[in-house]
Amino acid sequence: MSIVLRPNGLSVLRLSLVLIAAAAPGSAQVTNSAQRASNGTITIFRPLSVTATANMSFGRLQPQGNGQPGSVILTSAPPTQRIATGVSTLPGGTETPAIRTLSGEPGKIYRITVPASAVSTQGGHLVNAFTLWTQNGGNVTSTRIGQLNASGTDVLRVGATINFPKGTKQNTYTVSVPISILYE
Amino acid sequence: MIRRIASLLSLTAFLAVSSASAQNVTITPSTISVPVLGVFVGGTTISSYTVDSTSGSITRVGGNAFPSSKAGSINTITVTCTSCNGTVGRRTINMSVTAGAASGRFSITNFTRSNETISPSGTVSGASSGSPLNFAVEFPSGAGTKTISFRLGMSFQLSTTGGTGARTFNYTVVAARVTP
Repeated sequence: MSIVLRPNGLSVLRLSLVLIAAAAPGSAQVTNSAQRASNGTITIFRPLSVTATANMSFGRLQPQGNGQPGSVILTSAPPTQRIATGVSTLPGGTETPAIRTLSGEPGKIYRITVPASAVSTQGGHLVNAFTLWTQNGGNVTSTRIGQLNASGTDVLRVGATINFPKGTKQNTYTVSVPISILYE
Repeated sequence: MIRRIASLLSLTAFLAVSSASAQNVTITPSTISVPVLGVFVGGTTISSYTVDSTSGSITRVGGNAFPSSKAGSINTITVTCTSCNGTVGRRTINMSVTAGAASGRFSITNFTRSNETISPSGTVSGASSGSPLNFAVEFPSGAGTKTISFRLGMSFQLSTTGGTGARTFNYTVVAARVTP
């Protein structure tokens, strides 16, 4: 543009000198540069939140008076059932499996760990044969693996069998079961 | 006549400038490792981790998120300057490492550098930690290509909200040659 505006030889020569000066090193200036981006990866899961919705209770039980040992199976799958052998099941005991509500990363698989056995809070009777049921997967007793749904939730129910020796008295029997749930 | 000579001089100058520009793209971050940080289970509080620049090991410095399979990552960056070739004057490259945008719950909060290797010789000055991380490499005059390699560490943060799952993140390395 300058050349067009000032089309005389002297001016053009001056412009040339300016261009040469601009090309030569002067004060600090960037003469060339390059850049590159790097893409890294990380996988982040939502923390697994476990809420105890209910603790295990076999409800009110009356071992029969014939002096024989008995047992009660508390089912994990809904609806809650008590299957008794040598024991009378009484109403009003709010029987329930242990219920845990899980929340975490959608679709994530988790592993459930329960002990081989425990004892009842009342009388210290043997509790074993734990069964596991999840809302998303149904009966998972054999695999002990569950999976959070697309919303990142699931409900775990843990049932068991309580065993009574002969001469056990009527009571409401509850059990504190340590349940461990970890992402697979 | 004078006008023609002046025009020729002008054209020559223009071509000279154009030629210099064409040779400018000669600094290349030739190697950038890809950080693979592993799998983390987010916490209920904001958690902070560092990736050691030398060893690549990942250490938690705050919060309660925990790694499920912590990978670790040694990130090596090499910058080669072929236009630093010359026998007159020093050759300086300004380096800048800048974090990209946060990716879900992940964000880079700081960079560190270490293990600088300069070929054939030179000095490094400026910050060894920061975000962005800015420092300079000065090569003495001399013939031949100049190279600097360094290891890049970082600090990152896992927030309690935002996207989860497999995330990608990025940072950018800019190398700019400056004339004194």
